[in-house]
Amino acid sequence: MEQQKLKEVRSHEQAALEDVFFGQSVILWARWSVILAGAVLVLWTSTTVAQLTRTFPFFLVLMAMNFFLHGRYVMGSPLNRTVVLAASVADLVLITGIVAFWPGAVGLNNEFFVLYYPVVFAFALVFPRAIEAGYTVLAIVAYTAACLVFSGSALFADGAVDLKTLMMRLIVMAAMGFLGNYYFRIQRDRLRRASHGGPSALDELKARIPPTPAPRRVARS
Amino acid sequence: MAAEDVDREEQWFKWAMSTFGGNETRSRAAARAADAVQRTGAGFETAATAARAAYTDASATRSSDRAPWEKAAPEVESSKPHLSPDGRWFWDGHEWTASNAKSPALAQTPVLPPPASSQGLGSFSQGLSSWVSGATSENLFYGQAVIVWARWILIATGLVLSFWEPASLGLLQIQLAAIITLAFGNFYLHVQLLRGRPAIDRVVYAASAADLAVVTTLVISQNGYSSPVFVFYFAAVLGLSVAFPTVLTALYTSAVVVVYGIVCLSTADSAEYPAVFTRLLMIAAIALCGALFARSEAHRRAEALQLHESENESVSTEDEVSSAAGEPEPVPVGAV
Repeated sequence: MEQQKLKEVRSHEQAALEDVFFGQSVILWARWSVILAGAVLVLWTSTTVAQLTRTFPFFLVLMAMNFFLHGRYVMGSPLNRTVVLAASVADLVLITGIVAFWPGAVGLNNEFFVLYYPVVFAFALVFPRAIEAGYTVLAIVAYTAACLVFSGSALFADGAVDLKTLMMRLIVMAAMGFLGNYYFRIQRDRLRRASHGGPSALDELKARIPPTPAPRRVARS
Repeated sequence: MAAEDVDREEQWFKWAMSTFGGNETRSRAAARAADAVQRTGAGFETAATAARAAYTDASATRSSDRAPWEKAAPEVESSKPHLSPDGRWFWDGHEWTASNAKSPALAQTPVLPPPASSQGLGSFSQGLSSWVSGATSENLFYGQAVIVWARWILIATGLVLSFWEPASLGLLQIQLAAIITLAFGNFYLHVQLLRGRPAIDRVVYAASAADLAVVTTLVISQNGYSSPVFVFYFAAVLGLSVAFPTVLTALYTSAVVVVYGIVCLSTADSAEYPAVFTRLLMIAAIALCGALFARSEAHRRAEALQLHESENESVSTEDEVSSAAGEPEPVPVGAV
């Protein structure tokens, strides 16, 4: 049969493995951006040698980890899903550490919460919905906990204006996960259709539009 | 005329049976769709596309990687074999019929995937041309869904937070006016998407520019650097980074970084510059991640299409070789 002859070039399992492989590059670049931001900030804001030597090693460790992961990726032997997951959780731990313990401003007043965004977004582009949702919730819980612990009383002062700010940040964090994974699922569907050689969703949508009624032909006797 | 229509639908039915496989119910649906399209004066290709879409509608899709807008469609499988094993004959309930006889519409048209340009790299490689062409790109169509949802999140969040301890009447008026304008625009774009008539590229580009302008206006109206509204830049940049060609993503992101950077530098203390730097770098990082992923996916699709085409070519070559070797023509069971 014609349909049977049309071989699907990717199995579901293969596609899932490829998702991790190709998606890893996005996670790697997101982590590089966090490392770059962190390293520049440490160098920029350190006021004493002790402060610099205490904070910089964290970024060196993260850098070493990302060099290893990126090297494996470039060599065509990327690490498996568990390692990628663990590394992504480590990112969250590090960023939460920055938010909670950065000298000067901690909790809600710490401006480096934006580091969460590319990490959550990149993760959402790689993993299926359930895992992505778990990761996004973990990021939200971690940041909320850091804010509650270190800025708890301030959150509810002055008509809870700070709480409003916190809500805004959390909503955008959730949006990063949701939108990233939404696009991820769109791309999965497009790839599946391409592998089948089937029509694209756009073509299908266009085909579903009811045709304009043809002018009625006058029957001639 | 009615008899003509029935005849044409039957022809399409036979074509669908021979082309797509032996599923009678789905082939019937495909035939009806193709006939309806052809009655509008459309050509064979268009009608065949409609038939293919109708046939696919009835087929089951894996729920795990189904696109968000897709609904689960129960698979209707016929247990009765209608097509001969070699695919050259099918049983229409009365007799065996050759599947490649008669009119061109009945000829066994190979099911070719859409060209790589439409499903593959598409607009990611076309650079600025989609800006000036006034066309609708397929990549932008898929990315538009993300942009539209990002904008709804922006609108809903902005609306709720505007009423939460408004700073002043003037500010609230500006916020609500901007949000309502965005909501109307987004409603139009969303309806177009749902109807399968995505807006032309330039409208989408203009809408994204409007998003960024609204966020910038709100940031400026709330004293620049200290405004918490800047986080909405992230959602807006995310949407455009996965939808726009790389060049345009870079242009838009650069514009955001420059404009927001100037706003922050003119309203922040020098002690706050590291925070400004971090914000700008993270906005750029979001754009980079989105663009990288979109390009990588486009390459994967293009590769999948090429593989698929080469598989089909090898299958058809094998068929030609086997028939050239003088294999006896299969005799349909019903004909004996």
